[in-house]
Amino acid sequence: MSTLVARLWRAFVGAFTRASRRRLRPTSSGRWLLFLALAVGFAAMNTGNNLLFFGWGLVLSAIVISGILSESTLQAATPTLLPPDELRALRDERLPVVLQNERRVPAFGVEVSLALRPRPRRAASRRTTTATTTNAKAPRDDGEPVRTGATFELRLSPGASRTSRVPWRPEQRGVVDVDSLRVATAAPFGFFSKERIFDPSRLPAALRSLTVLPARVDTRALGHALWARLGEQPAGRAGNGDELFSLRPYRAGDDPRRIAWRRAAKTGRVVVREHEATQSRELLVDLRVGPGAADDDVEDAVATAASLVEDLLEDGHAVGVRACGLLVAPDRSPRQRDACLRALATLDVVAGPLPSLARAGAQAAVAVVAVVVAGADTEGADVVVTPLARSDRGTA
Amino acid sequence: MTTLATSRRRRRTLTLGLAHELGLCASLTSATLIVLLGGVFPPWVWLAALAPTLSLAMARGGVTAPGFSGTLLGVAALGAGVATIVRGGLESAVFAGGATLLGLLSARSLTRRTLAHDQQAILLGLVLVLAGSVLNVGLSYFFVLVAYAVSTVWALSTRQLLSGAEQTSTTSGSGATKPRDRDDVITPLFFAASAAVSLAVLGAAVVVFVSFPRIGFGELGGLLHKESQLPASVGFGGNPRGLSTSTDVIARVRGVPETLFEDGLYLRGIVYDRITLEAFSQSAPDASDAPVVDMRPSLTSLAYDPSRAGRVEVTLTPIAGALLFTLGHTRTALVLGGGAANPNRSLGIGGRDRHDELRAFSPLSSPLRYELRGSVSAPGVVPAPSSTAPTLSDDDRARFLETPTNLDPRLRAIVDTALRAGASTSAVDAVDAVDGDGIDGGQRAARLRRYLLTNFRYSLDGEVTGSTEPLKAFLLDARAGHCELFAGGFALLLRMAGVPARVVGGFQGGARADDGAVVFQMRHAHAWVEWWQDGVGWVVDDATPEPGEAREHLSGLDALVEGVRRFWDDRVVDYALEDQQDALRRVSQAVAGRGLGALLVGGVVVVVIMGALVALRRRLLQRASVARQGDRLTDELVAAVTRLTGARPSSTSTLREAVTGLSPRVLHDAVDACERIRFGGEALPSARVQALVDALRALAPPKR
Repeated sequence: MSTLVARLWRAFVGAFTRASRRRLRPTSSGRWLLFLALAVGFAAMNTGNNLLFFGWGLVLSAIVISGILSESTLQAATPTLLPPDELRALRDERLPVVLQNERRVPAFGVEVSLALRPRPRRAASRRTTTATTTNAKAPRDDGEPVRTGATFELRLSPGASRTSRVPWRPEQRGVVDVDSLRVATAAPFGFFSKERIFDPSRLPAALRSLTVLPARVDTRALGHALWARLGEQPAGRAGNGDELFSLRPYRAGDDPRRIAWRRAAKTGRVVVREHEATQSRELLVDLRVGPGAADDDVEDAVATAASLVEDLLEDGHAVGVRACGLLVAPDRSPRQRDACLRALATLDVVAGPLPSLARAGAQAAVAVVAVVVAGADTEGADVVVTPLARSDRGTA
Repeated sequence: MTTLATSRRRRRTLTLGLAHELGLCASLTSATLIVLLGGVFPPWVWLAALAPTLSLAMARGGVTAPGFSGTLLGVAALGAGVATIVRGGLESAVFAGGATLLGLLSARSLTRRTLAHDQQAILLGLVLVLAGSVLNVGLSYFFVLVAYAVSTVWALSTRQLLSGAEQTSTTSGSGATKPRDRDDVITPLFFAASAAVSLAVLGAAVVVFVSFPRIGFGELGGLLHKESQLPASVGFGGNPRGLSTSTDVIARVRGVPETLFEDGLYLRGIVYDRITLEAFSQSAPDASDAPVVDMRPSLTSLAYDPSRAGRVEVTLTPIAGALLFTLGHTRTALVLGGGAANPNRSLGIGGRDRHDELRAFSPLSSPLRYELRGSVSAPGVVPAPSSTAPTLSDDDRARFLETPTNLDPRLRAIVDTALRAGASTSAVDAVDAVDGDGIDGGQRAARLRRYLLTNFRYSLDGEVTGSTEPLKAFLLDARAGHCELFAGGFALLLRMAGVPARVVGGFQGGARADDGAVVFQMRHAHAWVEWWQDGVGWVVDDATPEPGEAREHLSGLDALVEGVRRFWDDRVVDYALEDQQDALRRVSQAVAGRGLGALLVGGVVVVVIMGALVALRRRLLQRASVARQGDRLTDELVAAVTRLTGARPSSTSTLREAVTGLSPRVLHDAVDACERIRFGGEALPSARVQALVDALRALAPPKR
């Protein structure tokens, strides 16, 4: 008995919960239709014209059946978010969403979108009280979810599933929580737009939040310039460098041109010359923010640092990244790019002392490239870099 | 072996864009036809029905009208509507509204360029359909409405799909196939779904129509009065009524004995008291100038005539304004229902006007049912005597004896000849009779009628067309013509012979249905004569030779069509609150009459049937569920493998082969489950399947 009561109670609550997760809005033509329905109803009742009653019935039934069919469509289409590829700020991305029709009726005209809620950052308020934000794309810390674009499926057959790509252009780096998945339809008549809002709790935990990496700026030329400026250092082992490293006895297969003939003539032993190998220097990209830095400048600096790290890693350097409260030791392993970019994506940029290199076990000879904002301290930096503006900074 | 899905080649030619264009064209054409079939617009307005087809041709040909042309045409249509009202007064508001809507719809359909324009056109079409309920109350309304509903559902649904697809393809910049060129949407399934939606819309509309209480608050229906389509003046040189082949029903008469029908029924309509050589017409046709005699006080005092006349019921469609058709000398008239736009209200009988026509209080807006008691007139039938002898005032006598001035002397000779030819006595006696000494009006009428029937023939060939004085040409030269010429000539000769006479326009003969109702259609239009006999009153007379088979019986398809039309008029157009109450009463009586036992047995039968259906449904669902589980897991596996490897597995490989070499354990678990479902027919718990699907979906490609 208690089980039955519990089931009934769940059904009762579920009915109300379900009702609250719908949104119905008339379109512009739908508003005209509603007006027409009222006017015709009034006219029909006051003239008693039976054919007018018939036309009125047609309008009313179109409204009711439209509601039933749109509900059927929304019931049929179930969305699930798939792990997206790498997401970058200020770049057009596509979020993969699987739309599945688990019912035995087809669904027509299904629109899918997401509402995402950026996690607020408090760095700006801690950094300064004088910074001004003029960019409309500045981080939104008000907790309001943002809507992605929408993708539209003309037809979803019974039992079929289809992967749609929801367009979205992230406006800022950081972590965004999936607020809801939304399936909407104006089918069949386009008079009303009905939306079903899916709670993210049905998603795997790993998909309930997405990380947006910093925006990409073009730092390739800067990377090459840095390489030329900082050069290479002896590796302390034989290799293909220019400096003589040692002499060793000849081994079968050695290039005869490397035989030290003079030494061989003196000693009577055939020896070959070995050169010392060179290696690129370990680089540490510092993000140094002075007090009073504007949000846009800080974001430019983060984007510049992230892009620089990416380019230098691609060129084969061991690169790390450091900021106040952040230290990723230089490395050239395949995971380093992801580690650096994710760290920068979620970084709360504040003005303050940088962590010591010793904490990460980095060598003392590491070259420091400082990306400096708002006149931050440049002490200890081998190279100082001015942040590059993100491509569409300041545009709407 | 489970292999991956293979694509099938499909050959379809109906693209989404073409489907929408066709549906839109059909919808808009239906909307215009609903109004045009009402018959109130001149023929050139029918060009509006071609606008949607022209628009379709333009769209297919890639021709677009300039942007401002839609506004210009719309303003022109509105201006024309306003001008019509200014010129014709408020009475023409309905006509002007319909014409304006037709103009607006034509303008919109010809200048549409976007899907928003299409939606506007569809909404305009809907308004036009609603206006059609006023302008067209015929059965054609229903048939076109069904076509309209089906095509509009089609047009709206395809428009909505196109709109959504085009909006998202614009925002996403997708380079895929243009939505208009998609040929995988309009499938048999879409046809079926669209047809089902159309049926549902129509069915729900019928439910609203039947069940919504007819509670009228006012008399706005007065705006919907239909003016008389009967001409106040009939020219002899025009097309004769006998040429009409229209089967539009004018009236239905019930209660007429078959013998009377076989004798020939005369449905008396408009009375023409002026006769010239060019036309017969009605003096002062405006009813407001003609004093109406209130018949109501005399209704109870008049005696019912059991010998010749009985009680007949007439259902008259609104084609004659306030004029009510009768079958002869009406002693009492009683409205049974209808007449007003609101079926819950009935028009009252106003009385007789100066032309001796029966009139309602106001013009009819819908079919009026009324009962007549009196005599059923036929040529030569003299009305039964009443308690008060009918009289004709001197003014009226003079009016009905008036003849055109400067009459040709040969016409006088015709009268003399006719009266003499009918006389059985000597020539001298005949001359005395003409002078009024020997024969009365009845005898003169008989001789004149006999003269016409003997010496003239019926013809629809237009022998007098083009003549300046057609009636004179008919009587003197052609001696052949149609009913209007015979009626006009007969009345003129009667007046020249000193017998007050007038022409009556109406319908004659009719067609008898199986249930005894006599149906008068437009093709039964006729004109005849009434002449006055002192002490008796007006006597119906007809000198037109019978043009063919006058008595006909409805059978076969005609009877079926008539049955449908009658159902439409009685059960749809005239459906009222009383009908709803009757229906409810019948239902309650039926329920009460069955008793509790029958209800219980019925309930048990229903429960058993429902239980069987539920069990069958569950069984089918279970089978479908197993298949869906397999399909779902397969799809998810393929998607996961594609994500992990960056390439879709070969369509010839098995699932097991596809996951070979991939490390995530869940892939292999999913393959195991898939094979159990596919090969073992085993339905896994949905939670287990969902867990596998979630795990597969969470598999992300390796980071760079």
